Amino acid sequence: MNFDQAKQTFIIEAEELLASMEDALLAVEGEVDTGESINAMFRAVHTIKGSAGLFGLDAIVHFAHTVESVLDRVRSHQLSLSRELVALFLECHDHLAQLIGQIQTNEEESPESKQTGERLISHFTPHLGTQSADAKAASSAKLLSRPEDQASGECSGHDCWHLSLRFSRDALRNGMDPLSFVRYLETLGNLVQRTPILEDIPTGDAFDPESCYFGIELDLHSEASRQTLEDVFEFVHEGSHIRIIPPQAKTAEYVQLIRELPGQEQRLGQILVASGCITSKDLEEALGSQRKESAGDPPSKARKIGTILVEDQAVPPPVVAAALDKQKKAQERQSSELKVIKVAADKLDRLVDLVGELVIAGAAAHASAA
Amino acid sequence: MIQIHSSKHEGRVVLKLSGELTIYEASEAWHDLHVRQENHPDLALDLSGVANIDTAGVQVLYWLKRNAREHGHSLTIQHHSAAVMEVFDQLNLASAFEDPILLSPSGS
Repeated sequence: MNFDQAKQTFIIEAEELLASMEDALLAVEGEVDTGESINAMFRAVHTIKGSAGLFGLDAIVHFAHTVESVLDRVRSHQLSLSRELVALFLECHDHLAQLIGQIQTNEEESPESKQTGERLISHFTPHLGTQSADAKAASSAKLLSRPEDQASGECSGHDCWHLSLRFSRDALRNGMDPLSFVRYLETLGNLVQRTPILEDIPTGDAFDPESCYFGIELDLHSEASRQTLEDVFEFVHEGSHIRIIPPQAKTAEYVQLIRELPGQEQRLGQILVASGCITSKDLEEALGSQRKESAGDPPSKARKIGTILVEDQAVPPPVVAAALDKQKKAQERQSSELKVIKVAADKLDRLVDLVGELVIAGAAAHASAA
Repeated sequence: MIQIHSSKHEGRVVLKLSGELTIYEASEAWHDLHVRQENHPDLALDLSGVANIDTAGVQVLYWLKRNAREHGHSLTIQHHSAAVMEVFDQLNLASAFEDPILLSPSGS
């Protein structure tokens, strides 16, 4: 699916989600099924935010993020749904519809639209309590100290996903800006460390201002799954290199998950996918590399899949070890099962009778020969 | 669109950029600015009028900064607008650029 088709699908899906959001709001107004309606609203806004993020539609992500945060508080009963809040949500629905409409017609966001968005967000900010709703406090002066200057006990390599992002030369020309990805990742957790990579910008006249030479290393503290993080880069241009390394803390989790898996799967890659440590896409890539290596010119012995996953996909070695262990147990179980076969009882009876007749015939033949 | 307005401040040439510094302006801005850079070894870029900047804009600024350093010239970036500050913050560019970023309550 190419980018434009995907964008069209996004618009259609978003419109459906907005319709379900509107239905939910009307149900809430009529006081029907409030709990389920709130969940439905949350899901709708959350999905729109996620999909918009894939396309770098920052305005929608930014707006949806605030609405989603308030809905989250409502559904966890930290905030009650007043008439005023319902009316605000209806306005938000309309604003989102307008933003989606602007994507459809490829317009720039109008100043009125921006104002509406900002007004609605400002109405929500008091409802978000002590949680600082947005890292980009637009109007007030911002202290530009990076979190690594603050002793944040929260993150070391232990708790954070490490993302290494290098974008293809054509990324900017194709409408993909690294900035959008950084902004979106921020909504998935806390970006504790950001290290820009500017060294690849050529000196002299080799520099093409429309090419992308930018890279960045990020440490993200987040509850998101690997699949969620990979999905962020689903439409990134080919030729970009994205590496996602799970927090060390996840290693123990993956090892535990692998141990608890049912024991039939014998393929190492599939065991690792089942644990969530890698995605199917990661496995496909690794298998592809393996195929290339064995088909290479000159042909060389391809690395084992476990090795490829550790070296290329940054799968922690203890996780591969646990998977290998699981694989070995599955293979042992299968081979011991093969030593025993089931035979139908009546067939066994016939065979035993035949053997008996053979023995008698053999003895008779032996007697007549003597 | 981007406009470049030249003035002199305390003996140094200050180029004030107004408008947007995104992929649409990057090529034009780079060509214009690096020629001016060659003519003025001690140069300041005033970004208070930059309403919108993206990665392409950041790259151009970085190229100019590094180019100055390589030729023993000086290029100071100052009066970062709110839009520029937000991007510099998102991408943690403050130390790469080594310009003091002054906070202003109005943000522009």
